[in-house]
Amino acid sequence: MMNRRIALVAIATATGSAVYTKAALAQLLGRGQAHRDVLSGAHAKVAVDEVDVRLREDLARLGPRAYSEEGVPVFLACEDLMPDKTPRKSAATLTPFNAALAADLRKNAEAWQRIHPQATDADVGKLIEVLAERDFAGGGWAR
Amino acid sequence: MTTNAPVTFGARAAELEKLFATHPVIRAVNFHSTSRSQAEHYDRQLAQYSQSFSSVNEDELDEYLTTGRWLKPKPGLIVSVFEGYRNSFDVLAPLIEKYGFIGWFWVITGFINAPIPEQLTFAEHHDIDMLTHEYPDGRYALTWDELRQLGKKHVIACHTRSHTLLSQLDPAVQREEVVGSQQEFKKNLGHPVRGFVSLTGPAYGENPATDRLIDAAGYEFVFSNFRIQRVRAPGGG
Repeated sequence: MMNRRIALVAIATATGSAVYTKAALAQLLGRGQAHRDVLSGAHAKVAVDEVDVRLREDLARLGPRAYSEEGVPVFLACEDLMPDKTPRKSAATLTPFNAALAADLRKNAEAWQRIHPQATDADVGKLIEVLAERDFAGGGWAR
Repeated sequence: MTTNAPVTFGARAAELEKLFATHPVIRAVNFHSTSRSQAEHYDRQLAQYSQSFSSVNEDELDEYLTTGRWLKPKPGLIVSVFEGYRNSFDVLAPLIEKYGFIGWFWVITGFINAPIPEQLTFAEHHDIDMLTHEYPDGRYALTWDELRQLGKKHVIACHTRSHTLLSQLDPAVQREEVVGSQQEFKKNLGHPVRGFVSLTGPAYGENPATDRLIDAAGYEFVFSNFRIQRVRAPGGG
């Protein structure tokens, strides 16, 4: 089975949008080696690692979702604003799940911006959905 | 003159990264209309979740918000069901119960108060999606009697009266949306509801006028896009 830690070649167009081509992918997979380099120029090759590939796959799968008739997994942070209705550092017990989720969010947010350089803050909600979908499908990886 | 620069993707992601790193996190799954035609899909979905997650009631959420401690063996999952569709009762609630979860039914009181012949029109004008028209008698919203039945096993909570953007309303109308809807719950259920969420999910703290109304209505939990906030202790205070 192919190791998923294979980098894919992406072509960054002059407009800054990044897409990887099937030809480039086949070339790299055929060589069976990882690339992680970024070159400058109008047709710079941009390394896209497995995070990008998986994110693209998940976005393709989850993009056309019918929100009005699907159960959509999400994560919600729990804030205790009592007693004075003021946000503050949580005194609650934290678990490794917190650090893992935060790290996963950072890693995938970086990937999202490589894939969609024009992303807006509204897109972050979709990213959370992607991460939650993975977590739920895996039975709660941070249990 | 100062201008507010739009929040970028990176800034919003960083904000959430910090939020999730520093606060207890709970899982939720958000349903809206749950048509009969999709029942098998919901069944499989909830069956899968029941292998890994456990139900959450309001007292358990309050404890988790306060301490971050979760006492059940499996992590909690809040099953949220929005708007007050009739198929929440007919289709999803039996499945929620079959798999041992507790549903959090977020109700738009104006929808369920709308006369049956006007419910589709109400939905159309209040951002309530109606992808499937599955009830020949034209009733698409829950009834108060169904809500009372749901309330015996599940959580009933407020999703405003009209499903409109609160920040765009004048104060009197906004009061009706936040406080007036709570009064309707008290009248029809015999008790106030503890949870509140409004359209597009602004958090407590984003709009001081709305916050004051949330306080006046006595809600304890404010749900928003990425947060659950505890804004009142059980029973007041």
